[in-house]
Amino acid sequence: MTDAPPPTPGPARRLPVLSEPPRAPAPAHVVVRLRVNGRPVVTAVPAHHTLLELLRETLDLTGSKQGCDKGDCGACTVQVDGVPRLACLTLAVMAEGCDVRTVEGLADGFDGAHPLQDAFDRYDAAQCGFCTPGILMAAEALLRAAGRPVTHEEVREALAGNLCRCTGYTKILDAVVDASRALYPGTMPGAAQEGSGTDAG
Amino acid sequence: MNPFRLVRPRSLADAHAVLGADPRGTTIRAGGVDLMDRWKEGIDRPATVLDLRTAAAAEDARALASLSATATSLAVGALVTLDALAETPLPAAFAAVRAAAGQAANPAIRRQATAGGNLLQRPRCWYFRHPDLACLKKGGSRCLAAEGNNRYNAVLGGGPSYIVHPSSLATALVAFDGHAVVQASPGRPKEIPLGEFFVGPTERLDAETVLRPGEILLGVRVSAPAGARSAYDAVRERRLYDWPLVEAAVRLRVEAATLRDVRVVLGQVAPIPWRAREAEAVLEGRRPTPERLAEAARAAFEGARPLSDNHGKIAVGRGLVRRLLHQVTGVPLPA
Amino acid sequence: MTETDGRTLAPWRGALRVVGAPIDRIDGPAKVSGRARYTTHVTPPGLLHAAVARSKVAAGTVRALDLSGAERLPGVRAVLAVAVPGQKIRFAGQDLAAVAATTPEIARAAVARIEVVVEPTPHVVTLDGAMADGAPRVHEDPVQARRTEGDDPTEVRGGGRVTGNVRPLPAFEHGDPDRAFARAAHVHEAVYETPVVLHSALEPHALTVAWDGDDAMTVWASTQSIFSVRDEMASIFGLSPERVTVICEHMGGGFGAKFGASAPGSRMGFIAGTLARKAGAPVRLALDRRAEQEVTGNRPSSRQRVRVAADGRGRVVALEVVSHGTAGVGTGAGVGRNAAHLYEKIPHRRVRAHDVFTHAGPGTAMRAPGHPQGAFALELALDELAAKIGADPLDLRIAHDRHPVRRREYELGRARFRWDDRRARARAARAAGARVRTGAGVAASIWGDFGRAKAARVTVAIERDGSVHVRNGVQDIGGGIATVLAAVVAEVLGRPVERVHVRYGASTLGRSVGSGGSQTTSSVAPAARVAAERARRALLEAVAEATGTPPGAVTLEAGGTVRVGPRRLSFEDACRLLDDDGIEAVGQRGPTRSDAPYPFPGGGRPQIGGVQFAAVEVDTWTGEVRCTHLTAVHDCGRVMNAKAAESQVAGGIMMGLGFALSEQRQVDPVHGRVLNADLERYKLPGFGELPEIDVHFVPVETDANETGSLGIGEPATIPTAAAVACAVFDALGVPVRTLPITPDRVLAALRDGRAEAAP
Repeated sequence: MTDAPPPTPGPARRLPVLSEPPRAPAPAHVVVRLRVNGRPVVTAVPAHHTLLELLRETLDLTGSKQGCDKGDCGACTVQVDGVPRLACLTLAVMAEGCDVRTVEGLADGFDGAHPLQDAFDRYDAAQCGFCTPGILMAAEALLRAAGRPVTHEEVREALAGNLCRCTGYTKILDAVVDASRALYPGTMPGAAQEGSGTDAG
Repeated sequence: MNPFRLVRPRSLADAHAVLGADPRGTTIRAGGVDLMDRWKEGIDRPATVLDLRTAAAAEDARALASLSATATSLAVGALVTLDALAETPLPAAFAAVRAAAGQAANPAIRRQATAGGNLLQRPRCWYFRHPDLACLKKGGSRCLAAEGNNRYNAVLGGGPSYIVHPSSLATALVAFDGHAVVQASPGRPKEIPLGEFFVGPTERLDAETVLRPGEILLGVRVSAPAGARSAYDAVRERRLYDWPLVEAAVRLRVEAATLRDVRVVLGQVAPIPWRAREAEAVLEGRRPTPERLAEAARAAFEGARPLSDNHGKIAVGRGLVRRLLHQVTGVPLPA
Repeated sequence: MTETDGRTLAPWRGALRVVGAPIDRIDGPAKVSGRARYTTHVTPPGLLHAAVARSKVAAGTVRALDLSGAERLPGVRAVLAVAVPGQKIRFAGQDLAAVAATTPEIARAAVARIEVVVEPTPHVVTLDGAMADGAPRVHEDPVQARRTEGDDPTEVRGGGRVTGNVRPLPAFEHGDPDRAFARAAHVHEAVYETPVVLHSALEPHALTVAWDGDDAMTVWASTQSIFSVRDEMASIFGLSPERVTVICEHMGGGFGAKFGASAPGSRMGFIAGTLARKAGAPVRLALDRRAEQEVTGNRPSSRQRVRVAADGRGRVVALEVVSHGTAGVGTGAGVGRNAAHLYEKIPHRRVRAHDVFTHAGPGTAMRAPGHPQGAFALELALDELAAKIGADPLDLRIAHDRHPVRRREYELGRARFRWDDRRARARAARAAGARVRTGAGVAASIWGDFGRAKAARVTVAIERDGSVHVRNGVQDIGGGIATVLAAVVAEVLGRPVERVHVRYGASTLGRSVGSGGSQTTSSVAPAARVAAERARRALLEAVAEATGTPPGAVTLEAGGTVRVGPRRLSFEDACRLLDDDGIEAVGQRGPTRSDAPYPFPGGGRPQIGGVQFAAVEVDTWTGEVRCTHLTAVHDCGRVMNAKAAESQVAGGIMMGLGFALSEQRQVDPVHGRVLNADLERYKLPGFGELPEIDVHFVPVETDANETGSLGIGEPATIPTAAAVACAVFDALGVPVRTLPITPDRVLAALRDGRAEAAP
């Protein structure tokens, strides 16, 4: 058992309370400042709203899809500070100060389209297209983190949380691998992998 | 999802002050994966949500986000993500922990989910998660799985509720001696042996650990005997992204060709991470022959009492434990 | 002008310039950029959001509804009682009431305040329970079979008399099965089961209705059939169909569950339209995932007792399938025509199928209704018989199949898949009692060409600036019909595909078909060719007139150059000779003119074949099954777009793998609720399940229609689960006769097999 002192009684000091207690049905809003696809955004959201709601409903960025709203399908995958996140499981306020990138910003800095987008077109990797934006954002993060051509198995692992009901996945896999070769010509798959895969520390 | 008040403490002391004001009405949020699911289904409707992560930078909260290891010890802060746990090279003794973290859910969830949140997540039983069904653990009068569709429910240690503990990380950690580090108020935390930390439905229905409202799980510390090795594996209906049907973790060391300090833990089969002591007894101090390993795998489920739809877990679990024992002992697997 | 219906069009022969090549889909850039607009992205001014109160019990009688709690909530603009006191509840999730509010969140909160008193009555959700004596009756009155465009279009509408909850479907009988079974040297009999599975399109059902005055509306719908939505909304609200505009720019998958304005288990069109009228504002009704999985249709279950017999010389002489399945409160639990018509050389065949009603959400067409279930039971039973008589499953199939293309597909597959090697390796591992086994299996598809004459009106326009436009009100559900239209018109007019602009996805663009029965391409592409040929002829006539050249002396060359006597004009220069109106030509498809290469049962249309070979790896300790390789050899007449056709097959295979290995709806027997109405425990296959896929098409020239194109969407998924089950049987030496083949079932089959083998 602990012999710690009892909690300090009373209103010790002012805590950074970001939202007020709920006053149904219109909860108090919290101001969030973030960047979305490079552009600064300042907006007020209820504390319990998700990043997906913020993107789709407030900012009208509907590229990120709501497929299950519970983190099971990956259709809402966006990047927060460069890392793939499920926007449906992320509270909007948690993106405070973050750099959020959605499929609408994927081609920024490229001539017309990101190599992944090109590859998806050439490989017929999208059918109904509903899962496509989430898959693109997860795949782009993989390629950026790898910094070299990736293997089929790496793509499978990275996209394990992204479901697709139309394509049968095979062309997505091929497209991502192909895009990695286009992005990193002259490097070998798995070149930067040494040292991983061993449990020795 | 119900509206709530979000509080972002700047230190653990801050967090305790908030918790102290309304321990039952305050939910501690780390990665928020499991919470989000419960909030969206309306299973939980917190008045206040305390974002533990904002406290992590404070001097009094160092333990929360740290991950450290020696050859025989491992300390995992509650806010360490599963992804970090899986990607950080750990000593061989703790391979099971790394594997369990790395096989959980999918990459996006592993990046968000934390060790603490994973250990404290509520059951995935579909009756518990259903917004319209009042199961025993939600204040109902009986376990709906017991009389209903219990394909994924407990075969060991069940009753009166037949949930299985959902945490794969817990399965791996319980294969080691260790403690949960819990703080009830600012000051020195208490250490609760992992074997006592997880509790079944005969002891508690409103939670799966001994943690009380207002207490903060700071992390887990485990140790392994020198020369120990460990392994974790699971059988899933989908290969890369699924809750295991059965999972197991084994820790042991080999001394003079015999097995020592054997621990076998089963997951997804009981309301708590389940020590298969019968299997351990079969192996302890013995030579690892294929026959012995098979016998231990059988013994692991000796006391199993399946429900109407989940008897299949026993054979699957035995096969898994047998395969895992081969892998961890180095006895070659037959083709 | 006989050319209107294409009767005088010469059939295409040999390779073409554009059609059949691997073509990038024209909607690709919109989809990969996030620009593609799906139903819920359309936000008319003043849009309200609907939510539906659904029954929490599986059976009962509505006694009272109190909507006042919802009405009082600020932000609520309209409240609607969908059920009325006295109404029967027949499944959990059934519509009770609905609200429209300014935000989705308020709508959900309002629904939670609606109080509906339902007096529960006994319910039954299992097949056994529903067939038991004294089981609660699901339907008291005769049942009208619900049909959609995705249903097997040749099935007879009727059916036998309902006894209890069991409704016989029309029986099939050929020869004298009883006599044949009595005389046969070898008989195999077993029961095969498949679960209810869910369409699970990534985009849930969604519909937005905006009234335009009292007698017109615009509807944005995620649908497989724009014109079914139009006609149904017109019928519900008493409007002229011409006054209902339906728009579906892009939609996120359907697989049979998205026909009409309503979901199979929810009156979405009625609800959204009525709320919109009451509120005087547009209303969007978008289902959440739980409702999507509980009430929007499913593939019915099946329990099939299969008997199959061989004579002393290894010939299969008799086959009987007696099937019971549940489509919940709906109909359609037949098992397709695999048993009846695939192996026509089996002289004596009988199929008797039954709908068994249960208190669960209605089944509906799902990608090849009845066929994947039927294929699984039939093919695995055949393999079990083959094992008994020592026959090679592939040889046995070829020996009993008359379809020349399918027979060729078997042989092609044998080589591509290395069937003999794989079977030999499996046999060796089995004999050695190996821990990890491999196995190989093969199964076939049977489907028909259901392309429809005059069902689609396609317009091709050529403007003076040389631009070419195609218009038709077809929806592109992901199959790529829009790209096919561009390709067909580009082919005829000698243009590059990217210079042909296609407008689609709206009822204002010309009548079209629903995307069901694998008929979209073979109904719409021919109409496009007819229209394009007319436009081409009109262009040449106009150029002849403008240049004073005899009509016969103006021709269109490959590449779009127009030859005017000795002169050559670029396509653009030729178009400058048109008057301001340019050219506009409308085309329709003619009737099916050929049943080549081989007739579909009943005749009058071609039969589509297809075979798939699956290789699996099974861990006999843990029961884990992995499909490692899948070779698919298919035919669909003339392939219109090599890329899209291959994609259809790959997608069909993965859906089949889900059916084989992981998908099953789970219902609580006590409360009648779907327990895995999500994408967590309802286990769609993911990247981890993807095998190595080898797709090969056998080109078939058929004059069935003006493009020679046949369907592929449904054939692609029919044999997959069957082939996997056969491969698992090959690996283990014992069958797993229940789908999905989960680890526990594999180990149970091995245990039972050992018990049988023991003296």
